[in-house]
Amino acid sequence: MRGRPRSGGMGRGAPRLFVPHIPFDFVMCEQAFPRVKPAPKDDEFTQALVKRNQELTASTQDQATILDFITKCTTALDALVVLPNTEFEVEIEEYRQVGSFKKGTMMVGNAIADVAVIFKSLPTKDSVKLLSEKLVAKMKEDCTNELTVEMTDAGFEIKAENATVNVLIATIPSNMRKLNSAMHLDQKTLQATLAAIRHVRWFEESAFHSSVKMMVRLLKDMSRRFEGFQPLTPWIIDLLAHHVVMHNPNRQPLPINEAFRRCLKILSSGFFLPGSAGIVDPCESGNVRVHTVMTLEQQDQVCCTAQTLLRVLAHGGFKQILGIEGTAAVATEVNVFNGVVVAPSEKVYEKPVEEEKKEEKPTEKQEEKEDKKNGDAKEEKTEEEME
Amino acid sequence: MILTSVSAPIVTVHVTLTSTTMRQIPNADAEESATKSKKPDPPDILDHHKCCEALATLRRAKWFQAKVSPHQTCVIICRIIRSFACQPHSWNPWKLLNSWVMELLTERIYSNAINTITPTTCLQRVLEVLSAGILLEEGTGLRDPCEKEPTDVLANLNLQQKEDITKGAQHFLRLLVFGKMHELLGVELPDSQVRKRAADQEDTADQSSKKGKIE
Repeated sequence: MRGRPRSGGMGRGAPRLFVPHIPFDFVMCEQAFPRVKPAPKDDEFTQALVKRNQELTASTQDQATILDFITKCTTALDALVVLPNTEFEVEIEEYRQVGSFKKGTMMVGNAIADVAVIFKSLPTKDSVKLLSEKLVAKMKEDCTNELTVEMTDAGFEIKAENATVNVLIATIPSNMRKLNSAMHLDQKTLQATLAAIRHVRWFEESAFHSSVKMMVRLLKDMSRRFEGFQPLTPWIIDLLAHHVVMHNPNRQPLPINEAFRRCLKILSSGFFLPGSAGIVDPCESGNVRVHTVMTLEQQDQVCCTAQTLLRVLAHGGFKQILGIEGTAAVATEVNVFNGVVVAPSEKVYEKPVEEEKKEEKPTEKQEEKEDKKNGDAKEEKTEEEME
Repeated sequence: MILTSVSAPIVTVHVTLTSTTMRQIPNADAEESATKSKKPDPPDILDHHKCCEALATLRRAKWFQAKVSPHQTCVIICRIIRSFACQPHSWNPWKLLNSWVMELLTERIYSNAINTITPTTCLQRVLEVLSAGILLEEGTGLRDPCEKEPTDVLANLNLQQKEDITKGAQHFLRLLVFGKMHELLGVELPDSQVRKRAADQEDTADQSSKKGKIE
């Protein structure tokens, strides 16, 4: 059950039209608030951001290892694609690399590459198993390493000593209707794999700027360390990073320090709260606002954490935020910075009592639609978390 | 000077005396001529700082009449935000925020909105701006339209006060978004019926607070 958006512009007339509220963003209306104070000295902060980003980036050696491994995997897949039906009954439409390795936002200590394989035949559980066996056999031909296979909900993982390839299965759209949950893979996971392919395509077209990638890494790191940011899925992080860096009146990428601040500011202003326009998913039809994947409680939690961190940042606590010093407790405990007492924000959302829940039936078509999409998107979250 | 009427209704009027000549003194070119021609200040002159303050208040009142008074929404929001300061919470950062800052902020937001906005949206925007840290050290500050030189009206708040107000606004913003307008305004939830429709709730809450409070 979603909360009702309560933005302005809602008429009292019969069919309520949902008008999303666009939260305040300094960057979009700089003229309205001319600067009367000198701009903050950000050299140290910028350097810390850049340095932290380097620490978070997977080392070139790691990247080379994975690249080597994924190349072996794709070569093996290439060989399987052309095999005649008699030898291998799984028909493969195509395969694509997806996920953070392909996007160039891989984090240190997360040596996993993802490949999405689209079946032309129906994706039965047996066929996935067959594919995994064939693939490993092929890979062993030119690989001396020990390979282990682990089945997952969305496909399987092939693990070598220091690298992992996560194979996700999808099927061509015309097969989606013929699925049977007992025999085949779950439709939602298949859809999520297709979405992952769209995400990579979007990322390569729109978010190739290095500042965006930096921002993605910094945000992923924050969502790992701060419990309050954990509801942010990798896809939300990609979109948010792109938004704060690229979406401004000049259409020029913002410097990383400004982008980082802006990110906390718009989250504090309720960018991802109910009723907010947030970010519309560019890879889905029908105006899905990405933050509606999160529950209301999670939306409150994300906003709350951002608000606390914004105030910590303003009082010079950037080292704690970036994880250079201190612990993640900075978001949940009272701290003192330069003589200023910074107390964490408190959550306000309470789960409605059961009775009230019944009364609050979604009246808008859009809400219902969102609910449906939420199901899909949630699956996708688990999907991408494997990245 | 304070005048108080004795019979009911008891009305108190503060009368402050000042003169425009008081403000010219720090002016650079006026200073030379002033030192030559002007007689030395009479010994019983009123406090210079207080007189300048009174002049500023006068300018602000004029500004308010020109910019804020014609817009009903603006006036409503200014009043509601002032009412926050009257709430009997143990921790109430709104007391720290003077009404001039509030009026300025509201006017900025109202006049920069693309369409005319409803009181709820306007209040939400004010809270958003505060939440985004306009008061905080790295923020842009807020320019005083009634001073010739760019002056930051927020300069008289110390860091802790700014921090507290920001935190308060952030909390209020989330209360507002999650449909707890009544907590914000310090009024009872008008009716269990009201929960049915968000728009209704916000409107009624607005009205009841206005009725309950005469300034």
